[in-house]
Amino acid sequence: MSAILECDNLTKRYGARTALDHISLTLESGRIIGLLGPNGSGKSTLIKLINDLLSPTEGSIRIAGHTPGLETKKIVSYLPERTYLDENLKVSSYISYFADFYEDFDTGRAVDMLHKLNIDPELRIKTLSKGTQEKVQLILVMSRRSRLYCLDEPIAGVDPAARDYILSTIINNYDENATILISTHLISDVENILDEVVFIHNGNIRLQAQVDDIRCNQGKSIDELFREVFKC
Amino acid sequence: MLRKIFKYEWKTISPLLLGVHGIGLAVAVICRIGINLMGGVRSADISIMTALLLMAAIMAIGCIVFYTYFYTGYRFYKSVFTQQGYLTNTLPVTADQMIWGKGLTAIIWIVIDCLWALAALFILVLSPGEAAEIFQELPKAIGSLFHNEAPVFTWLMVISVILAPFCMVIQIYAAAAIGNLFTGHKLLATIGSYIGISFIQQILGLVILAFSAPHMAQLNYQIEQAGNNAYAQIYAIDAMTRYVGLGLAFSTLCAVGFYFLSRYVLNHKLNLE
Amino acid sequence: MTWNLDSSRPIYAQIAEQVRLDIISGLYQPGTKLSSVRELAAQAKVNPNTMQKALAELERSGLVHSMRTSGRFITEDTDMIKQMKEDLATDQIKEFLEKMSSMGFQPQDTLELIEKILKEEQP
Repeated sequence: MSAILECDNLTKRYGARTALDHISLTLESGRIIGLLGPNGSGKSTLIKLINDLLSPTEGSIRIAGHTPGLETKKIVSYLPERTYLDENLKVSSYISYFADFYEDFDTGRAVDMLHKLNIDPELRIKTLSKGTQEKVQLILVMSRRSRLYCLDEPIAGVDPAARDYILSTIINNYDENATILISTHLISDVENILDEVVFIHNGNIRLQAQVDDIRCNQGKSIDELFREVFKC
Repeated sequence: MLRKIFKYEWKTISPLLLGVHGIGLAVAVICRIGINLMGGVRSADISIMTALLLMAAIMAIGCIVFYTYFYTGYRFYKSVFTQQGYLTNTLPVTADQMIWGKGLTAIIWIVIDCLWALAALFILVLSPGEAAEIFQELPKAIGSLFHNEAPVFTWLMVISVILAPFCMVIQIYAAAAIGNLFTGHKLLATIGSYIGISFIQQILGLVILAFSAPHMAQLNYQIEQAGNNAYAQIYAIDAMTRYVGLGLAFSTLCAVGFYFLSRYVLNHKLNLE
Repeated sequence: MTWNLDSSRPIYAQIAEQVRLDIISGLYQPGTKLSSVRELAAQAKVNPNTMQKALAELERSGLVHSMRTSGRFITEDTDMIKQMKEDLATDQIKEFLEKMSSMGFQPQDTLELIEKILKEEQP
């Protein structure tokens, strides 16, 4: 196994506020990893650093050996917390946009998934409901054959049916050599699909462990352990 | 990648701009018809209504020119520094490619816009005869600009005109980049930055003029000494050439500064909401 | 097939148990081909890595064997399945007898009670 992500003493400060505090973290290829922590714990900051949307204040971050930039953007697929689709464009415009910019984008797969959801690619984004927009965005992101997927709160604020759809889309598109990093605070919903968890709190890593080790050694679900670790 | 950025930006901004310019042209034609019906602009006693109509049409054209410029700037702001930036900034594209790709669409539209404004003005006020005359004389007039006593001056002017759209676009991009650094009210901050940048540029321009004043006074003195003859003309041309050259150097310097500022922000200081 | 997974125990072990039960009960006939890891994972809503681990566990016990190219099959060794079925039943009965004894029933009493209940159920 090789490391897909290596953070060394990674620190991010916004003015006086420290969002990430000297984090050292290594993630292996071929895993689905939960980045778990309460709101404001630094999850999004870490994911933005991976995606080169922020620059580290201190320390380093490497993705497959590269610092975030042109090379890493080719192999990292990112689902932000918010939808970024331009309302005036058509779904099909985004398909060709992704296909044009990302060499690893699988158009057939995207079209197929849209078809299964009965989404007409000729519709404009603004005619779709918010939930459907989110699904379109997930389909775009998961149709790439990337080395690392960063999904930032993919199931926050969606109904149970949509949540099931999102999770099965993630599983169905997962390639055994890729790594998926899912940030969430809704642990019981995702814990069955995780190989590994990273607990993050106040910008510090509290725990990194295999989920089965936690279940074997402590006889607890991840959700229970999380509630214990982050008890107020 | 530069080509792809250009292609998608072009496809995104062009429909609206095409529509606006089409409507503008239609307005010019309608106003012209109206003016003609009211006796035209050549009659000795031009009516108040005609004058108002003419003014309104010219203002409309002016508005569209401004709109085009600010719309291209707004598009840059929107696609790079708002939520859409989450996608734009995670494309495998360098900051240079991003600025140039989007910038070229804006520059081309500004050029189209200027030509369009000229055409609209011609439609508004010229008769076919006058237009024909202008087009006949134009090559000769342009030629004479290059074959007179001041080819350097003419060349500097040409370069200034060519560079102007670059400078305009990169100034608005730099304003968006600065606006992005603020927390909340980024659009307002962008507009504020634009006004601020323009203001500082004016001040700096004045300062440079002030520093060059003694030198210019010297030239002025020489012109006066020479009196009303060929030497005076040479000195005057020399003075103008220096002014234009100074202006050109200043705006080029600003544009380069704006470019590196935008690039730096895109690379290191993104602050998406 | 529905999967009942409890988050407080390793998921792969629970999946292996459930598949074993399905084989013993005859839901999966000997020699049938299993769906692909990806399909099974999607059905169970778990990570393909977890499903892989569960199937590896079943392979180790011999209930499932994989043909290099054509996929995974339930074993055709019916004796083994029968043996496992018996083992499982034996475990259950032992557990049951222990419970009964903790309530004060001697094995003989328990047997009599069972016979009585069976008679009542089948008139």
